[in-house]
Amino acid sequence: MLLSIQSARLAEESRALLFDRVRINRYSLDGLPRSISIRQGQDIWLGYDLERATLRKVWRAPSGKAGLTSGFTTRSLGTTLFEDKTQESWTLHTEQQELPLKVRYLGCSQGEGYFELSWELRYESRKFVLHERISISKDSDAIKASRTLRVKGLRSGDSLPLPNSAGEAWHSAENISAKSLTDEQWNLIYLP
Amino acid sequence: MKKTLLLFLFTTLVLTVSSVAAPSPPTSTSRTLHLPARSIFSPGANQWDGEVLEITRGRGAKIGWYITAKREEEVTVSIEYTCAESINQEYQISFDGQDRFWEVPISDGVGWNRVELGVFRVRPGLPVLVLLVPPSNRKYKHPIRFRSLILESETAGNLAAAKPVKALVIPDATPGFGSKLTAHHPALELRDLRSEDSVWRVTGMALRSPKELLFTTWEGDLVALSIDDLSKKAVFRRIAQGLSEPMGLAISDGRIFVTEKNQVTELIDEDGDGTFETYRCLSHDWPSTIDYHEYLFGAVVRDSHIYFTSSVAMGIRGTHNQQAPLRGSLIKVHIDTGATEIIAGGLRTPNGIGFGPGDSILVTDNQGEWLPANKLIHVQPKAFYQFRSRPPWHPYDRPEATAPAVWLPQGEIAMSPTEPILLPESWAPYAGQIMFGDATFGGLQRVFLEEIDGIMQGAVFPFSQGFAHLFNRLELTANGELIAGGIARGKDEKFIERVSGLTQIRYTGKEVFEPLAARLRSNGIEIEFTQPLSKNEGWNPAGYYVTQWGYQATQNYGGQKVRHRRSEVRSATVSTDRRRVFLELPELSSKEVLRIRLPQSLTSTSGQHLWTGELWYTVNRIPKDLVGVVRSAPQKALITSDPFFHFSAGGAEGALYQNFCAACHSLDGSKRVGPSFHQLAGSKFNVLDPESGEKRAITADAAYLRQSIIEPDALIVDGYQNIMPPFGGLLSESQIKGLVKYIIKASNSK
Repeated sequence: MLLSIQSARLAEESRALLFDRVRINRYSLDGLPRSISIRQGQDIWLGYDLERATLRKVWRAPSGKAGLTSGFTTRSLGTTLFEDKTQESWTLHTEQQELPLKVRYLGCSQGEGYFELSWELRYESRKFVLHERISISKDSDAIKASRTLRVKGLRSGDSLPLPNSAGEAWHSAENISAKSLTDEQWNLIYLP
Repeated sequence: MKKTLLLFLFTTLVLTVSSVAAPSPPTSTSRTLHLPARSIFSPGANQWDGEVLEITRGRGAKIGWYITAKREEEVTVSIEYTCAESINQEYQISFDGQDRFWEVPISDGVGWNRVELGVFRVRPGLPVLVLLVPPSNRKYKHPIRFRSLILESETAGNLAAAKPVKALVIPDATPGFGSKLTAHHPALELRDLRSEDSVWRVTGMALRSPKELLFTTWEGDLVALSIDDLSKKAVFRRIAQGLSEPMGLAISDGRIFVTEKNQVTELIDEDGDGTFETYRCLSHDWPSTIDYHEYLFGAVVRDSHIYFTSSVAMGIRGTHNQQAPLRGSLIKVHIDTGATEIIAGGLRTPNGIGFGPGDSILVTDNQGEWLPANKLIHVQPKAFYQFRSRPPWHPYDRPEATAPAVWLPQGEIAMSPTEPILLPESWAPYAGQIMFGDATFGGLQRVFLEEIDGIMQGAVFPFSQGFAHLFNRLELTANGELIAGGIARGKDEKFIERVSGLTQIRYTGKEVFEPLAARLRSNGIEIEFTQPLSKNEGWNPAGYYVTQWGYQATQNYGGQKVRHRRSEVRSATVSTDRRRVFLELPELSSKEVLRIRLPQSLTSTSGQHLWTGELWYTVNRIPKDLVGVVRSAPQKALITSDPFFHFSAGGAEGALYQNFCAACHSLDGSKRVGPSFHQLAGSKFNVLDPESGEKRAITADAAYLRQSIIEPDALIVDGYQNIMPPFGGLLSESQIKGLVKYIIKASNSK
């Protein structure tokens, strides 16, 4: 009884606090120990693999239901819209070479209307910071989901190709497949 | 760490296998000692086929022999066995605490196979325990059968089988004297800080300022409590949420750090508006899985580093005896750079970290696999504290573990020890001692530490029970008040509501007569009291019931008390100020625990009776030239009309119930984390068989109760969780029989 009263009170309180579990879940997702799930709009969830700095899955929650099971080992519930089943991560494209990057998760922030994830990507002494913003609201009913990415620290002429499976499925504002990050500008990509 | 050395020491033994004839009988002049399977000191849960032991279960099995040696030398151990099909985990051979692993080769099916298990060093003198420890699996597909171990030494007649030490007859117990305290310490004033609409399962605590306490909860919240004036209503304010199983909180220069499920997080309030916009991942530089039992416990900050511990996984351990690398470590992370360093390894469930004397780091760890008892560890860099899985090895894994500063025997003084704290000056005469909580045994326990030859050791004393909450985290306020935060496991909401939350504890300084400290001497132990003893009291050695034992860690739950025996107390000498008693103990032995029961009849000069009368001292080192002074007792001091200890039927079993069962099973029908014993005997209820997944009705008869003590995960009572540890490895057969009898009797009592 007491726990039920508390749940109701906390639900009310939590609206004033950031990192509301209704919007963001930092427990494990679908067997990934280091993952994060972020809700976009009413029913879309984006699940990230924090160790690879990649989007693992996008899914639509069943109508009127939660998109995740409860507990630490959460599982996604609903219709899968995108899934990256590979183990691919980010590479550095420089001087016609593809160099593997080491990934280090830096954290998560909540800003006005969005969540932002950050990673450090490193090749030997070269370091870049990858930022990815997920809007809390969905921009349009015409798309399934959207994300915005940018990278800091790239040299001119270098680029970070989006991991393959992501690049094929996600489109840029010009409605072409998203290819790579080349400068510090935010790049909006969406799942048509 | 020299990897090659480890590989040499631990490489699985798959040596020459050969068929052998029947074992030859032991002779006193032989270089060979046969230890027949039939003579193991406890059959545990396994089955017999004539002279052959069929090993079908791991958890709860005790397969061991005591041997003695006249001189120190190397001994080669071999086994005669058959095995029809390979199993996915290794056996452990524990020879007086020296470990080897044995990957059981499949035998050819013709006769008995003999394989060498390893070469060990035997020490002369006290009996040595040789254990064959099956993997933790509850049941194997195909039983392993064996009939003997064979020990070969260079010196003829050096080795002999020894009878196991007889089960001790335990004196009757009362709270604080052989059984758990039931009330709170007379010098404590308590206030339950629960609010009407909040249940906080407290997982981390720290002061943000002298006026504000922050704590994390199992549900993932960060909560602020104003402690400026707690005499008014306690006001809680949630200031962050969405944390992932936080189990530790530390604050340094206003910066807030939380140890979450698998990362250390800094909560950052970018704009100073009181909410935290960024959950910065400070470090997650160690592998993790989704195992429920992987936690990060802590934390404390020292010299710009946050220190915390990681627990081991239980899921994959149970099925394959493996861990993600580096689990079970003390970890150090720089709070600016995130640079991460592993300080020590071999921890299991180290749910408590705090500062000890001289800014040292203390860690508590929970009894279980590889931990025969709970521990208070005085952490040494690069030390290995014994919990191991294989492969991969922890980088600090080594054959001989570093001993804890203080063993905390399971069910006697601890069950799930939690955060240790150093008591401040305002807690005199206990200042400088350590206090820790317990998430199942309950209460607060007190530890006195001393250093002998650079090694920390000491005594644990019962201090207080009688709290509403099961304390998980402790924090001292600037004025020396203790805020203690409770936690509960399970799904029983009423139980969670009852034992979770915060208690404000004020130490009044009231003088209480009790043992204050215990210091080891070359020839015994000196016990200091908080007040002088009454004249002529304390001199009679018969008034002290002292037992001692060693521990031998096993890969199964609940290791073995070794050589558990009553110790001779040759004399008792009271100091001239009557504040100390020196007990002369001729059988003092290093690497053992002393349990000392004091005479309940002792009084102080102020006329007080003892609040508690027992202590457990861990003897890591015996000081060489620190001899306790023995003096003759004054006339009349040895005269007593009543015996100091009584040994009535059922008395010891009542203490076993209090210490092992009462935390989870009531006698009056009230709900706790496990089913009540009230009217349990003979009743029928549904149980779940986890192996088959089927439910069935069962009658709670003696056989069922016995099985539930030895193998509680064999059948789970409908509606309850599978969280009870097996006690088959901890209690002797006679203790289990006695406990079953006690439960049946108490169950039928009105």
